[in-house]
Amino acid sequence: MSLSILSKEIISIDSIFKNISLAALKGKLFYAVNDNSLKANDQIENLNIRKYFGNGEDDYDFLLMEIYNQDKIVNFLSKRIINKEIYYCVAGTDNAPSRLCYDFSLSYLRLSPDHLISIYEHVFSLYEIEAIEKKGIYTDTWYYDFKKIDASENSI
Amino acid sequence: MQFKKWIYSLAVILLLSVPSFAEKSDFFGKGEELLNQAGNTLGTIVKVGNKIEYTNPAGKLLKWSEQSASDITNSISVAKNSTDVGRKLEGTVADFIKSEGKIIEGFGMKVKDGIKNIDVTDIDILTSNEIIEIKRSVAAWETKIDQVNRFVNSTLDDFVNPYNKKAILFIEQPLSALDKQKILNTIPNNVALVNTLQELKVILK
Repeated sequence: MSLSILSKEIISIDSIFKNISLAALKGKLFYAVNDNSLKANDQIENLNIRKYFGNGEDDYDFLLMEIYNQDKIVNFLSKRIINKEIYYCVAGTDNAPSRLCYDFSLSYLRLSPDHLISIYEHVFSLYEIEAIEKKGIYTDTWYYDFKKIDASENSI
Repeated sequence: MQFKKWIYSLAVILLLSVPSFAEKSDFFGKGEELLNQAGNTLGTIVKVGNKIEYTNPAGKLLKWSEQSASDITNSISVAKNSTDVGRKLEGTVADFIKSEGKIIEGFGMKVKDGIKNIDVTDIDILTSNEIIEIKRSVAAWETKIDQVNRFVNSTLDDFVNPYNKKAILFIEQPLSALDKQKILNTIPNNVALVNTLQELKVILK
């Protein structure tokens, strides 16, 4: 799955790095930074977030998060227009499994409730994912199921 | 008599030149390394149990688990039936490649840093001649635009294409001319961009 963190403002790399790290920590996810994660252009790549499902060496799902620099956010990446407002993609990953996306998104949005997250073309806020959490209705397709569950709660 | 002496000397020389049984694995390892240096592989590859340990030209040790044919078949089948559309797409493309008579050598392979044991990347599909990155859309590609560089730029820390296989970027979403140009302007020249299974079919060796 492709996951993007969306923000109305271009926030500093330090700030987004702190929030992603804290989200992994508070979401009880394995988290590691490699010694070559910080690139010459100030981007941060391959923040390693894992969720284990067994005791074997490879019994885990993972994602590798990237935090983009201002030049890339402004001049390269596509912007999203949501409720007539422009949102910038400040960080993202691809090939991320569903449950890990859910755990990370819930934890991240609780720390940054003014941000949005998109999974592919489906955009949601803390409000939507918190509703899934409270009702305990997680499924592998949670990122578009929530629209069917309670249309009135879709405030994006 | 002179001939017998000559044969005996030859036998002694041959015996001395063959390593002892205890040294054999090391001997073959060095042989493989020499083969690598001779130009068949970019870097060196050593197999330890079911693990492949690859030291790339940048000197970085990467490792991944060898996948058996049945593991690969099962993984493709699971992916094809996945509710995750990205995973499903990977399974569909792998199945298509198989239907073209090609053998899939790797599917959804986790590649780790050999020292720190943390993830470096994954390889969506590996065939005998190609290394393929699958993306559902331009937006998905944008999240990691440099991902294919590690298949072609051997100076990178995370270069992971030891046999210099043809690198292919497959994007499922139909591309506008503008999107296509943006992608082509960004990815290295030696990465082939394909947008349909038919285009992929043409490019497979």
